[in-house]
Amino acid sequence: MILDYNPSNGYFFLRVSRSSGVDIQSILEEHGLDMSSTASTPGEAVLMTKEPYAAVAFHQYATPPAAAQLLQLQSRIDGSWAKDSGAHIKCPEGEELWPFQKAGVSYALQRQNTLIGDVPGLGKTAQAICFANEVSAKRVLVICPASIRLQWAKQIRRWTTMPWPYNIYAILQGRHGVHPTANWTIVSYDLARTAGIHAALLQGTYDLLVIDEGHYLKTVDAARTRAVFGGGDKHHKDPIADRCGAILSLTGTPLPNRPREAFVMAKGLCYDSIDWMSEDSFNSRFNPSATRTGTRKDGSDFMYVDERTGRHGELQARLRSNFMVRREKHGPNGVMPQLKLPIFDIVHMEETGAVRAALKAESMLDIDPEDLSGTDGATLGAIATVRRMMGEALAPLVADYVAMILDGGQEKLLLYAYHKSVITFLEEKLRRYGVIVVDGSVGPEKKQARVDEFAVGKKRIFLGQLLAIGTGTDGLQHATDKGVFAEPDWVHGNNQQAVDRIDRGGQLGAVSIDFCVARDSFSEKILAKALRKGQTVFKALDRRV
Amino acid sequence: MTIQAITVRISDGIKTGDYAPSKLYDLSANVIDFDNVDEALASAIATLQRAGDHFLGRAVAPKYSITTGDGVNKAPLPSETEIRSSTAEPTKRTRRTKAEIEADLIAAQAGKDAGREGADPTLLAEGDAALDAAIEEDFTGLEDFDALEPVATITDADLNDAVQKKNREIANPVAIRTTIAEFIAPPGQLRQIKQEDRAAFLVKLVALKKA
Repeated sequence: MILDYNPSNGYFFLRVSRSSGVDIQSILEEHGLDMSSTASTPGEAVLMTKEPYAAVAFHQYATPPAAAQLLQLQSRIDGSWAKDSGAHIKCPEGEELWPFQKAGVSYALQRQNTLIGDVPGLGKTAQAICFANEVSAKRVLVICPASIRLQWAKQIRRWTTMPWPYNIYAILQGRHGVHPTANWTIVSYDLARTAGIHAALLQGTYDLLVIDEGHYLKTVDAARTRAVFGGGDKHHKDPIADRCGAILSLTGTPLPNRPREAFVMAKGLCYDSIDWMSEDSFNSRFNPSATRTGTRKDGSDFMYVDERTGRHGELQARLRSNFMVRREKHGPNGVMPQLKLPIFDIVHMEETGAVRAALKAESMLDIDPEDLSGTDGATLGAIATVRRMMGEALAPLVADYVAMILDGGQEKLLLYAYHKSVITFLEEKLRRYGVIVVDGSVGPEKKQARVDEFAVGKKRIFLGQLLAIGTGTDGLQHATDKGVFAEPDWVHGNNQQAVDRIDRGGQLGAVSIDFCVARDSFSEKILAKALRKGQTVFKALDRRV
Repeated sequence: MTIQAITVRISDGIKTGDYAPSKLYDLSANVIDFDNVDEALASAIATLQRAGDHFLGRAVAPKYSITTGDGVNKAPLPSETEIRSSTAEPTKRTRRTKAEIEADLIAAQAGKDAGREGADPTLLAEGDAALDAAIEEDFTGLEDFDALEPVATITDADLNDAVQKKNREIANPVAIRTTIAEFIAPPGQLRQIKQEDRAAFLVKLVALKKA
């Protein structure tokens, strides 16, 4: 391949030999280049674009004029992958950031707003607090999931260089109100969008706004998104972001499922990065969809949304060069080469009577689980019921499987489930091994205490509700390298977050994850789709040509 | 001590003009040299404070800084009277002649100099009514609100609207990005273009033509 640049018309030309084996069609779709029918020959395809964000993915094939044109853009993208920085970043005595964390802070210091999108386990919280140290922030507002407010307070005490006395105020209940002079104010998404707290937060100004688990704001019309970034005409016309000098958004999964989920962050953090596009324009460019009509087995019609993705390389360049720093743990670009790649295994459970009944119930739904096409409100309710049926049907088999692993020599393991009934069953069935349970009813302090107990105690199973332990849980990596999903989540990002509880800094072993599913079940199909979704996300965020 | 300048900054707590430009007011004024007259300082501040209140249309708590000849505080010396972002018409007041002001000041100082030697300029004491009135009138004249045209602020939203409109018109985001880069180096954003450069940027933006 050769990438050339014509300064007279501003076009980049990518010449691809047809005999090279390069999939030209995928370049057209995934990078948004157009085919030049006049310049192309039977031996060579000539693709073209005026968009530097699209061309930069091929910079290593660039001729000197093209390289010169892309130099600045490429250096900004390289900064988003940086593993080290020569900068001295302020830390409390006795603490030290990893080199790639320093590079992340350096990246953020060069920008007004930044998305720190490092994969989970790379210490985004410490980077955010050290960024506050560097800019000498006097007032910081942290918006995070409710379950990790106290963990934030703990991390601030650990990393801040703010001179004592400073005031960290976590708003635990709406009636407590907002502290008018606190240096650090920590509030959950749900409280931040309530009228009283939102109005009280708007009374103050903040040097820095930290949005932890920023993917919570992926939906434009959600109340929490409006509260933070504005929009909509009913409530929250005054966004919290407008009261803040700088914004740091932290998330290990900037795109939990699909490219369109990048829109809110791109608009809120750096609208320039997407050329001030409307949401519709953004979606049609990177994640087009169309409503189509299908026919059920009984001959009746249904409507469904046919959603495509494209221009992944261009989207990645827009995000990385403007506001997103993101590093991986594994692989050639990984910042933790000592971490081994996790091994994923799909374990098919045997087909018992209960499993067969659950499979039959699934088939009666008459939907395509890969895109949930043909679903209406009633069907969605039925899906939830059938999903629970399958979880309960598999639970005894999963219990036996886990017992087999533990009896086989595995010292400890992390067991993920989704439904309360499944968690209760597994806890009872596996009691002899010692089970520590964390579900949504366990508060943040107790959760951390139970994690600590699992790390040092004799109990061998940490049984966690997938969503409850998926975020803000640290320390499990010191206890085990084995995870078993009794019920995989239908959202790829949630599985990823859950896996990252043990696949993170401090892990000394090779992480091994088992997904327990019934053959031909929805879970199996959805897992396959989740892996494909993961591929799309990988292309849009992390793939380097 | 010689007072060289007084700066009064009145705001409602917003940090910079970038994210709430219409709510930030800077009022600065050069002060003619007074020697050891702390009442003048207090009165001047009070005058500017009232002017700020008037412009904001409500009572606010001003913060003020004093630049002294020995450079104790490092507030910048304003080169000229400056008022930004006016939203309300001030009340018109009658100006006194320069000769009248100077005569009042000389008379007032002559009666007070002996008692003011070595006084701490940061201690704000009650001055006599004649002096206060003289200073107030003096500053009212110097500021001359009526003669000043309010400077229009170009907000972030204005910039966004302009680039969106131009992008729809010419469908050439690369050209717009290049224009922005002339005013703020990448990865700087549109909204980081300085207020004083925004008008020039808009002129260049409007001049962009469809290729």
